Amino acid sequence: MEMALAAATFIGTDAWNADLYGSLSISSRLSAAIKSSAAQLKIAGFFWKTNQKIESFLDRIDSAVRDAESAAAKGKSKNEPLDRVRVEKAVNQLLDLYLILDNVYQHCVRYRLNNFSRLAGGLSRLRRNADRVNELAMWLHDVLNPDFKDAFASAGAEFENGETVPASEVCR
Amino acid sequence: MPLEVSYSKQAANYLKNLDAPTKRRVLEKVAEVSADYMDPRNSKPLEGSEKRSARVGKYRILLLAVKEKNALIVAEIASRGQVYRET
Repeated sequence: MEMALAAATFIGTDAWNADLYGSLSISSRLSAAIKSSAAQLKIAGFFWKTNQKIESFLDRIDSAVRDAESAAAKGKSKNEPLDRVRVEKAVNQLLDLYLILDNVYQHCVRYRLNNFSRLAGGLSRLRRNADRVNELAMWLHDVLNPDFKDAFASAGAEFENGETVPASEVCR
Repeated sequence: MPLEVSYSKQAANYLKNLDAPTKRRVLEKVAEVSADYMDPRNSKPLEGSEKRSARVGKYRILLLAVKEKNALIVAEIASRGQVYRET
């Protein structure tokens, strides 16, 4: 599937490894020393920088997915076969990144860094970015291991028969 | 124009049994997808553009867009847990 391949192309590149893992190791080391106001500002800066880099990579991936999807919709798809090995590698790299981000977040929360107003925003942004990374990994995993065909077929049939439940009933 | 949302029986029943904060998050996510279902920040394509998935925490939401009927069907909501490394 081309959308998955477009996403996988970005993951694991030299830029990805150097930028993301480089800044994360610095964040982890600094999270241990947080007594002074100056240290807090420094760590807040590193959180900001790390979040910016992750968001920039994730936005580029979303943009590649959107472009691949638009091209497919216009019939301009390249029809490249799905490279399972490449996508599996991307899933593993994303999961590694997720585990690192989750570890940094859990470590910081354990040391109650989230109680410092200068750091709380950056930390919760880090949590959201970790979730985005995990979401991306899960999506690629689902594309490789489709277990959803029956669910779509049955929902489509329910819709055709007028048996689906309107949102107004569910939201009550 | 946002797509009109409806739920499969499985999705409606699953949603009914979720705790209130999670239910609210799922409904918010579905609303975001219905506003622009092709936005990859909200949902990602599984097969073509019509069959899509979105996530709220550990829950996977499968969504089926029927563009010609301006409809978005929530096909399935299920807890998928985490994916772990395969190697």
